[in-house]
Amino acid sequence: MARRKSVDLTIRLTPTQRRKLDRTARKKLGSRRSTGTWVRSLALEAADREERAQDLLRRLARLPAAHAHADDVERRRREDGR
Amino acid sequence: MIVIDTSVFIDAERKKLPAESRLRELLAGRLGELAVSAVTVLELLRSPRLDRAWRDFYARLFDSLQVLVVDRRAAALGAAIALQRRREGRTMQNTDALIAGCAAAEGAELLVTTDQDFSGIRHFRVELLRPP
Repeated sequence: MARRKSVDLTIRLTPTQRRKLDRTARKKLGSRRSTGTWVRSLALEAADREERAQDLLRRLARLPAAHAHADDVERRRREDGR
Repeated sequence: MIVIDTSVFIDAERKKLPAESRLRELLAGRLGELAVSAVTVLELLRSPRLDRAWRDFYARLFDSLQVLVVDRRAAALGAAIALQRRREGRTMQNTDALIAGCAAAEGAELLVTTDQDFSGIRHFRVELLRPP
């Protein structure tokens, strides 16, 4: 049976890296939120962005050519005032 | 910030290679940095010829990247860019000038286009995609 991963995630940092993260987190969020919360939100945003990118790429690959629409947009652009 | 011009989407709809492959590359690696002008959103969505699959794709795309507003500063910068081009003997469409103005107002580093009218603008780098 596959082992279920813990929902907790521990990351190991050097003291210098930790100080750097604390400094940036304070700058970005003020003192009310923790560095961990900030790192968590960044990581989740990156994961969400990756998911969206993969979804868009899958969709783009499946889309048929749209010549009529492309011609229409281009014609409107040409008609636009210069 | 990387601004994608309407012309890239027009060529991607035609399945033209430089535009489609560059769009893939940008979506795959730099989604968080991508932006389009609100003008591009208008240009792409206004036509009744846009089919459902593409409309759905654009809806998801515009949810995922930054859409740059056309405000007074963007319009004024667009006008200044168009005026400068005119002095250089080159014309620029209003839509292109607004897109350039939006990119300049946001301090974009790069504008990706297939349209030669953008080349030589000094406010940001211009990547001109050409057919192979």
